[in-house]
Amino acid sequence: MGASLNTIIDFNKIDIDHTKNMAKGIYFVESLRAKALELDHSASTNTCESEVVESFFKPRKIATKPLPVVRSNEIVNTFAAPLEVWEGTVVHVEKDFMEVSLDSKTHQVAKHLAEIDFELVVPQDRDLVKPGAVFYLSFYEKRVNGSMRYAKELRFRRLPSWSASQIARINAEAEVLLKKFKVPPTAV
Amino acid sequence: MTVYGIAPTSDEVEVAIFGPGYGEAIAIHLGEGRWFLVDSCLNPATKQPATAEYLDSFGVCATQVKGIVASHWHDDHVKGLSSLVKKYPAAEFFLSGVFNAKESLSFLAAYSGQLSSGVNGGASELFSVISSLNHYQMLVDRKTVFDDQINGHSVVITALSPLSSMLGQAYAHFAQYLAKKDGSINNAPPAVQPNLEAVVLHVDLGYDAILLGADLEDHLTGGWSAVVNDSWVQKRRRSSIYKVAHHGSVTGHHDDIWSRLLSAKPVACMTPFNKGRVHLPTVADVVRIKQLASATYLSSPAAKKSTLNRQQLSRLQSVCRSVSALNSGFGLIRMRKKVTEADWRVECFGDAKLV
Repeated sequence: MGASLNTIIDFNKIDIDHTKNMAKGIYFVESLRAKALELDHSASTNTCESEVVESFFKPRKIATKPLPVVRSNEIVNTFAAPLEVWEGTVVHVEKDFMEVSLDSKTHQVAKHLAEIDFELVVPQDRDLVKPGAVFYLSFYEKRVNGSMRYAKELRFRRLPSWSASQIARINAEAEVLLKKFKVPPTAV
Repeated sequence: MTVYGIAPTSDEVEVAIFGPGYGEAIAIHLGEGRWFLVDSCLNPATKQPATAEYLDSFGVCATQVKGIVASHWHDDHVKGLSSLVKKYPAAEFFLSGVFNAKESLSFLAAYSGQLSSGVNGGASELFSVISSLNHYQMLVDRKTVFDDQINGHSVVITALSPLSSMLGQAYAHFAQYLAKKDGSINNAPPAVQPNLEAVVLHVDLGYDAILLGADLEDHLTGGWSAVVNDSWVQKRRRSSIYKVAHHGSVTGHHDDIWSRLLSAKPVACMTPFNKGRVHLPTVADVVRIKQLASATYLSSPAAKKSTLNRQQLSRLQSVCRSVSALNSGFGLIRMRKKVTEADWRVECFGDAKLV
């Protein structure tokens, strides 16, 4: 089982150690190369580990040429620490802003109500802005090239659509609940 | 913790209306130590069901609670309901007849939070309640909720709504949000407008009556208009206490509630509703109700001072047009009366006050 840097990496699978390494200034591709070699070695002796390799380097498509070494300062020298995370729910949508309720996930504070401009919503999430939609508003401290900056991010939760098995389960539960009720007498 | 004093005496009827900035719950002492609960809300300070805390403060036994009604499924009326049902297993549980259909129960199951993570609220709480019970009862107009002799008087609690004739409309609403395999995103479903599914209760004490308006709104075919025009409803004993419908809003108002169902100048009680831009009752609502009632009480007037520290607040203000804390007040309006007494004695606890 070979893990090659020609493989397009599934970035969601990268573990936390890599993120820390990035913060320490180790070149991103160099760390991946080391991880690949390490996993390559264990793959030859352990079948379970080979599955790890497969999931880590989930192949999507093979590039025809080796990927260039990335030397982006933004990736290499960035470290972020969360300050506060709010879970928000869209209450009402206006033309250019949304009314939301905010519940802190990091501090014991009362729920808050706020109005947020759509400018803060990334284009990929615009289709999700509907009453009832849930989003996360994160404030964090970011170190870029040695200097600290405050940063924020608003991302909407994207739920999958119902699966056939979920719909079957919902219908079965509804049948069970319906059998439990009884009708009280009617006054005349 | 609020001190509620002593329990009502055996021959004393009590109506206790709890309301934080968002939520409502009612406890009624029918006499002889028998209690009836309507809806549930949490005490913001303790995060416990307000009515359970109240009854505990008097040492009320679990068997003394005879019934629990969920007037409708919105989360401002059912928070903590599953804890109440668990705490009082001997109490009969009633909910709106709009759930007497596969469409509405499928809706509850779909939005119970079991299959749609992060979707919380009334549907989740109500699903949890009815899943835990072996049986429950559904209410539509004219259904009897309680009927017994107490202190020598016939005490009857009857549902005046939802109307059987509008159930189909409610089922159709729920059907819109049924789980479908169409690739759509599963957000929390919006509440139906207007609210025609709420259970309005008439409590006939044998010598006086209480009208609990729930969140029923008016509508040409199914809401208050239909209730007040029902000749059977008009023959009910007129009520001297009115828990004003739908947080005092103009959509929950109908002139004939006051002229046909209530005695002259009743005591009016309200709980507020603060969510998004909606703040109820409005100033105009309060003025209107004050003209119709002998006294008007509000469980928790709007108090929206943010509890965030300066850093937290400035961070939020950097991304939000406006920021305000959800009303974190909490109050209790308590009315007591003995058979021999002409008027209700009203007491306010916490943030509740006469308006």
